[in-house]
Amino acid sequence: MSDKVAPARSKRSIQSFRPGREQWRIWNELVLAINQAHSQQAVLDALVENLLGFGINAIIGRVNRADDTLTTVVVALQEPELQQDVERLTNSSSLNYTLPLESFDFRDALVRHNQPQLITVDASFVRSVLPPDLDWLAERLVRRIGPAQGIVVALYTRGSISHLLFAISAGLNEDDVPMLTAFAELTSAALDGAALLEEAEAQRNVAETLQRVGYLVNTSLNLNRVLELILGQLATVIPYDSAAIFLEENDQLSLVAGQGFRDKLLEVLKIAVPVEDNALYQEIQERSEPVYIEDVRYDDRYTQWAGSARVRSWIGLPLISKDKIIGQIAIDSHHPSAYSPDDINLAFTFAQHVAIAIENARLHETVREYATTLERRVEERTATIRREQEQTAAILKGAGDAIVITDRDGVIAYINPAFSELTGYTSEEAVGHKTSILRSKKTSLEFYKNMWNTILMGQTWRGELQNRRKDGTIYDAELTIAPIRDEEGQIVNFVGIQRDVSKAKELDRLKTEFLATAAHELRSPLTTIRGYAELLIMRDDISGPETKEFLSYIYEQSLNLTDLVSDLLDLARIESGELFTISPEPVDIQPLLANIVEQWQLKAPAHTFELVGPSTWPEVEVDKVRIQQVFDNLLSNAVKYSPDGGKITVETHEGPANMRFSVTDEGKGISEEEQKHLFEKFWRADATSTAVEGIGLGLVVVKTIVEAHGGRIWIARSRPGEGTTISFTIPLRDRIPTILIIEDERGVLEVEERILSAGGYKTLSATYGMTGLGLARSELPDLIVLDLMLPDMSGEEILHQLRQQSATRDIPVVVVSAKSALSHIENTYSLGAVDFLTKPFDFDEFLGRIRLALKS
Amino acid sequence: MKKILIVDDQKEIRELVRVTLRIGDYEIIEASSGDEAVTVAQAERPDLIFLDVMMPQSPLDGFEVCRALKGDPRTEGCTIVLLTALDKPEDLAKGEQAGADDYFTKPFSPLQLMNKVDEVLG
Repeated sequence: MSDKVAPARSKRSIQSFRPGREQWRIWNELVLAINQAHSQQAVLDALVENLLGFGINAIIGRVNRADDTLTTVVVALQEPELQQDVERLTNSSSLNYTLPLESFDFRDALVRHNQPQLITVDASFVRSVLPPDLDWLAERLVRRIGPAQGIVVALYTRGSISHLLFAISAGLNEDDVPMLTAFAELTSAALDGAALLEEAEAQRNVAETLQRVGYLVNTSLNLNRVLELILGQLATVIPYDSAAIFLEENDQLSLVAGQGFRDKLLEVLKIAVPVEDNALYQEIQERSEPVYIEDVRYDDRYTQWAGSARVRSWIGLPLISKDKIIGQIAIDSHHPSAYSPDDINLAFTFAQHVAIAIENARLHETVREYATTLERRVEERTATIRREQEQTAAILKGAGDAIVITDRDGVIAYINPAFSELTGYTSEEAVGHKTSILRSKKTSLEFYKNMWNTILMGQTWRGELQNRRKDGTIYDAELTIAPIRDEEGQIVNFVGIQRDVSKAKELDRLKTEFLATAAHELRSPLTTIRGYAELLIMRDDISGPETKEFLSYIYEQSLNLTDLVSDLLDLARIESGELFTISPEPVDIQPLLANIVEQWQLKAPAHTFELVGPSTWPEVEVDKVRIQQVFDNLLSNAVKYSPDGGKITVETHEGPANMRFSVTDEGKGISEEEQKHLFEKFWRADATSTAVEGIGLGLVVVKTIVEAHGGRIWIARSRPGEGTTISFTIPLRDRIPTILIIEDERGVLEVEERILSAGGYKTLSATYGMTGLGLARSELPDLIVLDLMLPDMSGEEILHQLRQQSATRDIPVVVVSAKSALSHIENTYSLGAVDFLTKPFDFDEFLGRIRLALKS
Repeated sequence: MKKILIVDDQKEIRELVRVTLRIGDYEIIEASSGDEAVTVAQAERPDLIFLDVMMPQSPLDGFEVCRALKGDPRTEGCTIVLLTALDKPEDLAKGEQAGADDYFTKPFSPLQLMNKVDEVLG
């Protein structure tokens, strides 16, 4: 502890402080230095430096008026070693140690009455002003400095005591008091100046900060992020340990931005608290002014806060926007009384700008949110429209019916692919033209007029008419036209949906014709049966031999009738889609065929029948009755088509996969047009007038039977006037599939043959396209492996020719090529290849693909 | 004696008509195709012709024969009765257009055929 005002103990020291020349120089320097200092700290630093020049140790403490304590801010010792110790200890030039002012018994005299105090600096005094753990330092200090005398004077800033200066030197006495008082007054004036400067600096700082805040608000960042950055800026205006911005919403106060809080605490603070539970905030609301608590430990209002336990000073700054409190900024310091009224004023100014910034930012945010929502809505709507359009387009595109959309005048605006396919007009050719491009002269103008009247009245029109394709051909169209209206109900477009019903109509016609034909076919034998029966019953002039002859006519025609009826029944069954079942059994086909040919020779003695074939016949698995039906039909047709007699040949050929049977006559032949339709249901050559009776009914049945056996039937050759050959195949039993390889590269051919043999297949091979085609026709392989580059013709040409011929049309073809361009592959597929293999290929892949192709 | 020509490509039908009519006092002549019918009719000038319409192997069908005979002054006076399996109205109209006097649809009754002959020639 120190003495009260102590009497002088030695005059020597005073004398030594009488300013001599040297001292005046120092004094002048002090005045200069102090007045040049721009900050309070700099003023104090200049003061102690000059005191050291006088040989005086100096310690300056800052007076904390709020809690009546003193915090060491400057320590300047003459002994360099000691100074170093102190600096090392505090890692700065100040000890930053706080002790209550009450521990000084001269407190009142000094603080209240501004009386400089003379004290004795002994070990106990030094110890009392240092922390207990620094006792060793205290001892060293006393040993080096003293026992010394000290003079304590107060420094003032803006009229209030702000610091205490301890001047310590062995030679100090009360005579030195006036000088130190002068120093103190000089310093106080300088402090005032520095404070003003600092304030101005701070205000400029605030202005700059606020400008930055303004920038922040105008960025695209969201409000909370902006507020966090604003808190960062606040730190340059007013130092804090932690700070937070709270905003009020629905009578709740929530933290929206925080700086300097531990994460956990921040989470807690983010929980909204009702305004009515927050006394401090209520007070801020009432006063619309900052609330400053110098030490929260002694303030009940603060304890309700969930703030950090280390907080001592607290400032609550109202955020005022348009005369309304929208929230607060809370500033915490871990030191009591950390802020001056100036600090608070500055912070308040800052807060007022922040409030405006928040309001602007909120407005900004609202506008931005609205814009975003609007944008999203527009996007959603656009997406919906696009999706709907895509759906509509997909429907139109995929529709099987031909769809055309026109304007009010019938000018085409859109056609779908089915329309192009039906009419032959591409989109480019049709769009912009009137639908009258489809008009055929077969439909009357009256009809079109009626149609237009209906749709212009806004009604849907349905009907059938005949339209003309681009190539001039006519088709029957079933057409529906509907008007499309805009929002006001005005007709803006028409949509026309048409379907080609030519086939259906043709089928209808054929069915009708078929019935007539069938009736006619039945009437012929019935005429004979009825006529002779009537004669035999009614007439007495019929002789014995005549009776027998007539009865044989009746018998023959009844047999014909039976065949006809069974053909009709078969046809009916095929037509109804009922599965055509056969009962195959192993049959020795040679005697069967010989027997059939023999019977026909008897039936048609005008013709010569011949059976040509190998000496040994493999056993085939067939339905005996059905196969006989096939031959009877073919032979019956052969007879009918060669009325002048001639040779009729039944030829058999054993291929690797099939037995092939051919029936050849020397008759009239079948025209190309007839050949196209020969195996079609209900079709009958030139049915209306003088065609051969009986044909047409049977061939559909024949085709069905052959196919039920797994075989194929086709017209092998027919020329008007030169006769006809019809061939069909029956697959051999348990046969090994045969694969024809058409490939000109020997090496590749050998590899393929080897792989296929290993896979259990029979192989045939050709190195030229022509020989390949020949083998395909004569041997009817189960599959063809085709190279695209052959010396005599292209693979595409071979594919085309295979497809042209009815015998080879259905043989699956696997194309093997080194060309792998997509267009190439597509082309071969479009020509009917079932698979495309790119060279080189491996063993397993090749076999796998062959197996798949065989299944097709 | 009245002369009757039977035209049909089927032998059984020609024989049927011949046997039917043999109890009457008529001269029966036959033709098995359309062109033969025209030649025979022009030469023999029959009083009545029974003419089959559908003769697939014949160059001329019954309608054509009918038209030819009715258009020929030598034969235009003879009565032509069509024998036809086609009895749709348009087929019958076709016969009328060709100038046929009457028709019988197959299968016909031989006795009715005889009555017809009596009616026409009697």
